[in-house]
Amino acid sequence: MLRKEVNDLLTQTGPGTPTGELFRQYWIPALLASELPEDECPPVRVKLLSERLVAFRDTAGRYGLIDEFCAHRGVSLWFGRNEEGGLRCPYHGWKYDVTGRCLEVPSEPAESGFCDRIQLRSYPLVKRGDVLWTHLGDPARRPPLPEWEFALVPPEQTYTSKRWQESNWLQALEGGIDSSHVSWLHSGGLNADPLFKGARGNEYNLKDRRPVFEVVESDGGLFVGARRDAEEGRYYWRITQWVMPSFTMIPPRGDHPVHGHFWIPIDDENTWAWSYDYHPARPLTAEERQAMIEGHGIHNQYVPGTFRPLQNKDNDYLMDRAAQKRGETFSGVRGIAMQDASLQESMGPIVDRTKENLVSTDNGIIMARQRLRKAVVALRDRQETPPGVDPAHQRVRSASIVLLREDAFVEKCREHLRVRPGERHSSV
Amino acid sequence: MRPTDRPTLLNGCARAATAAEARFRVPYANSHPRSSCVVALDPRAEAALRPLAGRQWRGARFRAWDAVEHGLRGLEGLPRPLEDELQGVDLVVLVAGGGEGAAGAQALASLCAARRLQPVGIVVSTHPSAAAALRDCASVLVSSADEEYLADMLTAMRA
Repeated sequence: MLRKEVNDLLTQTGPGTPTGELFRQYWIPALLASELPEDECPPVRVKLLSERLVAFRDTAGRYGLIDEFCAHRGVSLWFGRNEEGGLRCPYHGWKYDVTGRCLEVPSEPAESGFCDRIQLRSYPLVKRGDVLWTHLGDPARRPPLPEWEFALVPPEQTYTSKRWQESNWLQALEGGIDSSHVSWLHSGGLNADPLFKGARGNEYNLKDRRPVFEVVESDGGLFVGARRDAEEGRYYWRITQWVMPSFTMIPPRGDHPVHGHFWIPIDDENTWAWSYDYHPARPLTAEERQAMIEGHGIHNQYVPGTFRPLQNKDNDYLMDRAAQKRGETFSGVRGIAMQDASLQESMGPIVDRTKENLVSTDNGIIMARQRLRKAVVALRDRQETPPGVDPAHQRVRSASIVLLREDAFVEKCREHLRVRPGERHSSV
Repeated sequence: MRPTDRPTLLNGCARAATAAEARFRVPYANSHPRSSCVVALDPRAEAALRPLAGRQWRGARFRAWDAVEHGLRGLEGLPRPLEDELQGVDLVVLVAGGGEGAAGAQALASLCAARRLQPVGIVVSTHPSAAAALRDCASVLVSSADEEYLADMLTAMRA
């Protein structure tokens, strides 16, 4: 249960809000690089942390993320012409560069210097991996560029997708760090999904459906360990990483690529759910990449031409009660991603946490909320840099591993939970 | 086609998941107060528990493990019969700050198992033996150096 004022504190991320200010301390994913595929390509509307912006790639290949609306009379620059080093409003020809600086006001003499007085809000847009990253905060406090491993490995080793989730960011994140729902909601997927099946660890999952959870603070957020019986005298551990504010990495299975998410607020009722898959030591196979494109694993299918999932609330997520009855899916919804999103969206755009009745297996969520609340307040009241900004907090991995029963997982797995460039992840 | 094949009103997710419809969620208490027993297994844990015991809770009771008597006592020192203390309890929280309470943790975990209760273990220090004392006794083990975590968890779980 969370008091209303704390729920409001953590779910509101617009300009001037404390959690919005928290998100503005980090580099966050803004677009897939493929959305701006070439110089002078069409501009793209972007809404992040309740700010309406437009992204474009100019004649020289520079990326820009600027206020969506022309300073003249408020026309959307989505209609803009991307040409000759800037974005030109089609209404009266005002032109802006990637920094939001006004280059031309055709109706005013150049000598007047009028256009020098015009400056649209702008943010940096930087390509790392498949993603264009932005920092919406104070330039004087801009952190080093992000160092998430999935964004730094060679392109043939990584795949990233994003989808629109029609709910607040926090209830989406909480699903990502709640290990206890996997044995229920996703029970149909382990042995069927091409990106999960065949791992030895799956047998432990299926034999022991009552895992014991261990939640431990980490430098950047939390480790959530789920422990199941393995062979005599041993436990099978699956260790999830959460790094503030909204990065997770799910423990790997066998030699499958390892995956995870970011949840980035579009506004208070909508979220971008980013999903990445990568292998630290080898290229993705053609079959793996094709499976991701087709929406297997943590990815999904789309309404053509959009980032809206094909299964969405307008078609009741293509609910299949017959498949549910046959045991193919637990909730009747197909696919890991939409099994989560459908239930999280059903909670309402911003779930009312005053009505919750939490249990012991919710301790991961309880601790994540506490760490977020404290980081938000520390930033607001004492300007303390929150965990997760430091690139050292980003050089992390998840792990699945078999340990002796008496082993403490954090101590035994420290090296497995850090990036070791070029080396395989620790997986069973 | 049956009428239920074309969802209308709240049988359609699109309308049901809106903020407008969320306002109509029935306003009532959807749970009875829970009965919680929070046990400090060692002196460090007891020191962490004392400030909480004086606050307003929904029925949580705070106890300490008495290693000499091999039983429970109140924080004021009076013995409490073990069977009575777990009667009707639906949440047991075992708190460790060191390793001295391992025997108590084992004893309480056995009693909980007999009542089909799954204790939560909270480690309130960085002492290495504290987690070890709880590891095989708790269904969920949480290690937090934050002195407010225990209070936040009890509040979140409506203790």
